[in-house]
Amino acid sequence: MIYYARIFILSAKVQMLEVTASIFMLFIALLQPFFIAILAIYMLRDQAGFEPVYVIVGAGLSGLFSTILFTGSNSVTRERAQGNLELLEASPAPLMVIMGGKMVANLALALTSMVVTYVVGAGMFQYPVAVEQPAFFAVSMILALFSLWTMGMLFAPLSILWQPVEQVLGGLEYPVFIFCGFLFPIALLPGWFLPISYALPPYWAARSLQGSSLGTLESDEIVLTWLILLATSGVSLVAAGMLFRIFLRLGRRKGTLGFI
Amino acid sequence: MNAIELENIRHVFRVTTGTIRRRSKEIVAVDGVSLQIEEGELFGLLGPNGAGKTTIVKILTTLLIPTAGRVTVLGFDAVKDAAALRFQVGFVLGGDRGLYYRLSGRDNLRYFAELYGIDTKKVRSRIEEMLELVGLRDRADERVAGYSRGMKQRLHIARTLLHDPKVLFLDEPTMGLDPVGARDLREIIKRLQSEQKTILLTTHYMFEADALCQRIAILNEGRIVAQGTPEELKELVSDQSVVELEVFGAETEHLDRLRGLDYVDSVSIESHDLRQVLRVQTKLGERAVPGLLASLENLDVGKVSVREATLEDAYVHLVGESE
Amino acid sequence: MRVFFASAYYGYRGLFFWETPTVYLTQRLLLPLSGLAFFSLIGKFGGSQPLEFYLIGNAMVIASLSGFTIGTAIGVERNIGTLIYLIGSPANRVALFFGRAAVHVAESAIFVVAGFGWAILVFGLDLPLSTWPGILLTIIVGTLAVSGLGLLLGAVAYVMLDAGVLGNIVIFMILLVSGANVPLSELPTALSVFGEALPLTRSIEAAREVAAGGGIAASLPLLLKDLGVGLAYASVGFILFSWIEVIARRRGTLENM
Ligand SMILES: Nc1ncnc2c1ncn2[C@@H]1O[C@H](COP(=O)(O)OP(=O)(O)O)[C@@H](O)[C@H]1O
Ligand SMILES: [Mg+2]
Repeated sequence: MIYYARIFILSAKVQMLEVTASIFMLFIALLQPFFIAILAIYMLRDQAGFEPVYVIVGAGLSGLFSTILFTGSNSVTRERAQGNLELLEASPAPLMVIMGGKMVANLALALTSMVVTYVVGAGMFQYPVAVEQPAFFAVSMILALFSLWTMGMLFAPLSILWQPVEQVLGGLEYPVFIFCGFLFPIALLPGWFLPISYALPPYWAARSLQGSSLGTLESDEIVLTWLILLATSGVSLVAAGMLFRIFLRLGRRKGTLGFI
Repeated sequence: MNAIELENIRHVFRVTTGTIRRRSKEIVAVDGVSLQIEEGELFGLLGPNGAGKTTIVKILTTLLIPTAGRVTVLGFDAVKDAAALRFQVGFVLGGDRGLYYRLSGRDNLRYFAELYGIDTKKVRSRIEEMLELVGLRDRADERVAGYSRGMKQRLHIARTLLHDPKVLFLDEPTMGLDPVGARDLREIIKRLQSEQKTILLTTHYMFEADALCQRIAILNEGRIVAQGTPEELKELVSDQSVVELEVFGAETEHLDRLRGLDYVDSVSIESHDLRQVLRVQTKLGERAVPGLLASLENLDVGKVSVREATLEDAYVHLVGESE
Repeated sequence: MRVFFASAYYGYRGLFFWETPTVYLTQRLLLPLSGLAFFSLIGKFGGSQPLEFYLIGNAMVIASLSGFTIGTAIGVERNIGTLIYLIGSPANRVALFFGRAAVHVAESAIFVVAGFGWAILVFGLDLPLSTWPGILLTIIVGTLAVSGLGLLLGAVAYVMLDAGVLGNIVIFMILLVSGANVPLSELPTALSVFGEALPLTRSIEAAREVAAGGGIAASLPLLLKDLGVGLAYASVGFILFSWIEVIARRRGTLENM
């Protein structure tokens, strides 16, 4: 157990160095949410009941999700391209523990998106920003991070198992922003899209974060949101575990752990 | 007439390190190199990694502008007349990069045939000819992604021969190839030489330079340390013998003690697991052995043999002890 | 001319070819079409402009893909190690890089058309048939204009490694200051001046005028200006190109190590 914990932490450290050295990842985590926040403020501020905190949280979530999407989907493929994957798998440490640690580092980078959008709202535009239900917000944030971690764990084996997926995943940013209602209510979408939104963990993350910051949710509604968030994240974690096993089995049989 | 002339070429790379506190450092890759290579000659540039071989090839192929000095190839100045010169030369830089992996081998050739402005009517037959020469005809329509290392290297050769260059630069062409692949490639190079092309070949394999080249220059740390035909280079060590001593647990102090002897010219060491082989170059031959053993007094010495120096020893002698 | 066409054909296939049409379409179209939907829906939620303002603006923004792809192609060539062989060839630089660019211009213009189709079918954008020739003209002009900027980006990518990031920044700048999502008059002066300096800004304005039934002739001056801005960027790009090639040859930055 201690051994696993050490691998986990070490992998996180190594990944931290890797992602912060990538200008592209820094762009995704810092600059993209910066632009989206500014744009959304300009586009939404004429609204009657405009809430800056809604934009800050929504644009921040968009950065969080994009960072996890890109770092998650290239975390295994990158190891393979550099020829490290065979070495990692040959070591006694389970690949999923290594990847889990790396995903924590990715989350740490992703979290800076929220900081950036907060600075845009409270600093650049000088809006008074306050959260209505801080305790609920804190719990929601922790659960949201956990759910993003599970999604990252899912993207990693997905993109290495089917090459086209890696190419297509990059295009999933906006669809997810749309279906999860980061910057507008999903009521704007045609009704038959709702099941898609409900199936996505980030939708529930956005709902509980925005609900608790605006104070628009009753406490039983929030708790229900948390439960669904946990359940959908659990599903994605189980799926991730299955995909990792399939990948390793296929990889060892076909020799695709090295570069193809 | 000289096909290639280098006059006092110097190249300094400036590299910056550190993201926050930026420091800039100068790396002297080529340090005053002069060379003349005749038309039709196959010339070998030999040197260890980092000696500056690739830098020289890039300067000759107009890809790098030297910090100082004059370069002419076929009478064209490689800096000022770069555009005109490019029609006349071909080059292959080592490694398996530089090809469009998503295209077939044939399509890679077609593209470069266009870039070099080859007569439209002749493109097809020329490509076939080149594929034939490098033995890639059956696999030409497959994607390059699936080619072996040797096939990629041969495709590079075909690519660079399309426009029938008079001068050819091959930078470590056999690097990373298996013995058979490397031999095939050497056969191709011999064939090109028989077609009177001027070829500059770089390598860090002594035997390759010996087998192929008419003249060799040995490059070390950006400087030419010796130059001549393989025979002339062997002359450099003709009066030398090599004493090989098998020892156990030699330390730097032992090497230094050997180097301190006035009849010892150079000492190199090669480690195998527990034992090491010391190669001592000396003019004394077997008469040196007692003295050598005496200065290794407290060391376990196994087999001792004495032989005449080879070209390889000349190389080791010139570029130093490592490698 | 041959270098132009060969570079267009092989360059595109060598760098941007996908295994299957489905993967190609999802990867290339998913991003612009979902982006259009995302920003238009924010606009609809905000309600400060009519929906068609956002639909037309964001459909036109798709043209910036052209600038992005042109700008990053050189970086890709450098990564796979082909750039050094291209530079080592005697082929005319202008033909080589314009050939590359031409394909991306055509591709992006088609994507903008797809964007308008998507806006009409999914969001009910109302474009009378009579406006289509004018819209088509603005699409072509807009795409050409951003492509000029793409050539400048490409030149910068010659010495700067991460052209992808630079291209992304430019796309977001265009989203913000070109008037696609926020009318220039509502932006702080610094940003709106910046918007005027970027290509595409006038084409977007022209597209809205044409869609509103203004007729081609009325928006011709706008289009000519946009073309001029694009041309200016392209010329600066080319002057930079010849200068930077010399620098790259001096520093040895034609390759990744
Ligand atoms: N683009 C570059 N920037 C900085 N240093 C370089 C560059 N290219 C080569 N060098 C340095 O120049 C020296 C000579 O390199 P090179 O010509 O590649 O040697 P060789 O081909 O003989 O192995 C080495 O020390 C290398 O690190
Ligand atoms: Mg080299």
